[in-house]
Amino acid sequence: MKARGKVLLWVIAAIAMVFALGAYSKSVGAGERGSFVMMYPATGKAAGGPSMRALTGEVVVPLDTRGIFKRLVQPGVIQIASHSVTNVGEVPRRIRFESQGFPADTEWECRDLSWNHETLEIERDLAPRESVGVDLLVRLPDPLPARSVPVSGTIYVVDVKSGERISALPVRFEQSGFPQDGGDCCAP
Amino acid sequence: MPRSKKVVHFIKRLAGFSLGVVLFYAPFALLVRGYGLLFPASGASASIADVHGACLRMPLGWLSQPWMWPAIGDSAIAWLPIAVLPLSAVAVGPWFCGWLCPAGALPEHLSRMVPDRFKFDFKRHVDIVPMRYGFLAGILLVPFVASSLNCALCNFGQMQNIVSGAFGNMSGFAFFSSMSLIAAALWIIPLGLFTKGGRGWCLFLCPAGTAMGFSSWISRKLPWAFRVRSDAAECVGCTTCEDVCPTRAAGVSPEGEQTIDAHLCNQCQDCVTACPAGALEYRTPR
Repeated sequence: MKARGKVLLWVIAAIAMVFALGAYSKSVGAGERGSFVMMYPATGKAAGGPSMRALTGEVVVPLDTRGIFKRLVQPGVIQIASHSVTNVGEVPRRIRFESQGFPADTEWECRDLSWNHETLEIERDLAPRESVGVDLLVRLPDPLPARSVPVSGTIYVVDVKSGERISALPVRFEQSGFPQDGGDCCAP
Repeated sequence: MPRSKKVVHFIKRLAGFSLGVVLFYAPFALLVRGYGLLFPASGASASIADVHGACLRMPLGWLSQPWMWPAIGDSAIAWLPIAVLPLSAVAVGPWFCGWLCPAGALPEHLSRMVPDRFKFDFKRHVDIVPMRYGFLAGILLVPFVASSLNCALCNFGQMQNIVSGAFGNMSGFAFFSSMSLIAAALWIIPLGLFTKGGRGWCLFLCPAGTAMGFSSWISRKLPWAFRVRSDAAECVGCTTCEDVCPTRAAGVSPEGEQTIDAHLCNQCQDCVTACPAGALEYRTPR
């Protein structure tokens, strides 16, 4: 009986440790990395297509919640990542990515072998239901502009053939201590 | 045991881990590419060469997110490791961990460079088996309250960055999060370099390894189940097996009887090669 109690204690200790890590991860995660699921062509939603993120219509990164390790090692680089940008249409499509509004040194990375790093195009047709993963690396200006939304922008999926933007997802970086209208509280 | 046999065993395991790199990791990722070629309608792309293509952590995390359930169905290849690994462990034990997993092999082999006196032997201080299952339970439950932990605790992703870097793609090192820094440090330093055997991460924080350990344990007595097994009559009680075991599964009881914990053994067979009395074999039960 005593042995069983000891075993149970080890199990509970392990679960508690994972939950502690989970709590820490949850408290800092959103401010360090934005994740999204994007579907194209967007059907009936304002942004992002019929996906989970489209329910809110945008990715919000609360910069205040960045963890101590991130602040020490690499405070100004935030990743906006997706393992799932999916063709939900009925025909194969060739796509490229566009971004608007982010700092100039924003970088795209895609794990597809047909990815062209220069044109941001996946140089092959993506079949219906096929997903690709893509990461956007945003380098925040230092110091951050003194407003509640220091950086924002929009990610677009563009149909290469027609040039049409077929899905869009706004991304907003937020910080506290400034008026919500975006004005500079410290301006003379 | 002749030194040449140990060298051959080491080279065999190294070849296995190299095969693991080629099967699972970019720029090769032959498993995902092969699956995409064989089943083009599955949504798995032959063109996506990355370890994420066969990730089992992501679908586990999605279980707590009803809006992601359709994606679980679309990620059929992710169910391949979930089904194949524990099922294969019934027949041959957790061969994947001991012979194929580069993310487990890296800290194990790095830890051999650190003298034993600087290492922590979990076997002497904690009850590894209940902790292992406790961590698995936590990993399965925690997505319901903190969904990001599954990816944050992924040493496969960290290994992908290392492999990509070795082949000239440094993009994996362009971004760090607090949790990825903590996970990388835990994986390599305290649970790798400074853990006896170097497999601390595998023992506690790998859900695939724990699932295979459980599967291996419940099926260990099946007449066709291959496992590392000992012959009590041959054992001389020297504890060499315990010294060389990366997962702390092998040992000698206070009564002098050779023991192998089926929950922990990854069938690497280091003990079989090292045993001076030839008391250990990889075989079915007698």
